[in-house]
Amino acid sequence: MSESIALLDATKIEQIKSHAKIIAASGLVPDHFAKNPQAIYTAIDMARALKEEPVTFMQNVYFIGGRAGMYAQYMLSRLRRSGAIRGTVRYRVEGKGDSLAVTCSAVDAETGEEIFGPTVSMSMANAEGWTKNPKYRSMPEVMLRKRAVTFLVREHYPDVLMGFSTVEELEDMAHGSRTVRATVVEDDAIADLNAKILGDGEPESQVVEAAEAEVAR
Amino acid sequence: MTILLDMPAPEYRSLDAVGGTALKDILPPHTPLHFWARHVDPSREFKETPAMRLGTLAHLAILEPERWEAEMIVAPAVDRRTKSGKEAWAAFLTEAAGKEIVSAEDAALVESIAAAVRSHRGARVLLQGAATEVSLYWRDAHTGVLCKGRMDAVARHDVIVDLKTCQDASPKAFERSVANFGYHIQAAHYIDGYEAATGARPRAYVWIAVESSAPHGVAVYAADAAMLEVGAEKRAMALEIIAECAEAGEWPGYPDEIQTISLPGWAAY
Repeated sequence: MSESIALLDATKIEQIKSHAKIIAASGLVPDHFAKNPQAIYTAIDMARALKEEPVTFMQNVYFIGGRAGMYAQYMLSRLRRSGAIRGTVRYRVEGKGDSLAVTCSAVDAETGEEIFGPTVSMSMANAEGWTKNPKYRSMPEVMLRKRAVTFLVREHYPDVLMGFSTVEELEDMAHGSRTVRATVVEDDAIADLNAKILGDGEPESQVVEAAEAEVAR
Repeated sequence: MTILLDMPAPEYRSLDAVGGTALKDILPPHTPLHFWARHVDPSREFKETPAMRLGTLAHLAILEPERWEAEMIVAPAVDRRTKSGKEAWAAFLTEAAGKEIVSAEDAALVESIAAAVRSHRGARVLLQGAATEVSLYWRDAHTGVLCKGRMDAVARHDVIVDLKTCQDASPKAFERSVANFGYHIQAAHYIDGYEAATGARPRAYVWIAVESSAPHGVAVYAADAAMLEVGAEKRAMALEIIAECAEAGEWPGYPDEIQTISLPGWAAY
């Protein structure tokens, strides 16, 4: 059984801190972890609780609005590995356009019965404001499938999610409820400026003029 | 949706819209009543604290050095209790008409701060050729609330630069300042305004942090993605509360009901 970091002794905590530093420097985890050893430390704790490898876990969760979300694909992988279902899930896709609807089902390993999650549809997506997420316009079936499998898992196999939301749910909430926009940190922009700072230290005049022109438009 | 390059600060302050530094005042632990008193009450007065004045003067000297030279005048060290001192002061006031009077002590401090920023390679690259004191005026698309913002500088390639005077410019201390003063909320506000006014999404948001005490350490920091996401969430929450209160015409303070409180954790043992 996993042991929470909060219950560990000082030696083990130091070991995990060292582990977190190694992981941060490994290049194997996304930037939102690599730049934040405290988040890695916590992620190691979460991974223990989920019985996952820390690096795998960190590659498959993302923070939106301060909440950790699990990618739907990862959730499905966890469901299959849990042995709770036979094979994988199935999707029933009906209708087109605004009447598009998806239902996810799976064969329960214990009973052998096919069980169904709640049907999700574009009308539901519209009503809940999910469609403010532009992905519902560019790939509606894919988005509804992700929602449908999440509904199935949350209703019948909640242990797989361990209280997590999926990244897709959090994105929909962010798009639907408020005018929260994606981040604007472009590593290229910072790298370009740092190159300038560490290089000749003087920006090229024509580039500056271009920036001023953009501001003035 | 407007972007204004030469708007004087008083004119910007008088714009009837929600600015980036006001948003945090409506979020817990504050209440809509606090926000109303500071930013809506028609009889409110603009009170400039010494720290705010130092920040304003430093901004002028760093971002608009020509205006600093032209519009500021240093007060002479005279004893205004004596007759000769009074005469010297009266002559100075005549000379200073239309200018901002700054004490010799403040002027020296501001010059030192400005020199420190100018001598910092990163800050210099960011500011050189940048458009400074860029005002924004737009309507929030989700809530309809009128918004305003005044970016200290816009560097090349759509990078917003925010100059902050602070006590401690070390990374951890400045992170705390960001959280305590809601700089990340302000950042999210300006990012939204910049896009609304220009159609371009900023590529980064950078702070130049300069210590107000000698040796006036300077550091430049970029907000990371998680920080800006939290800032955007809080900004959205603040605007929704503002919109609801404005529509209802009610700006409630703390709840009427009795609330149970506990000792803070650090005082419990």
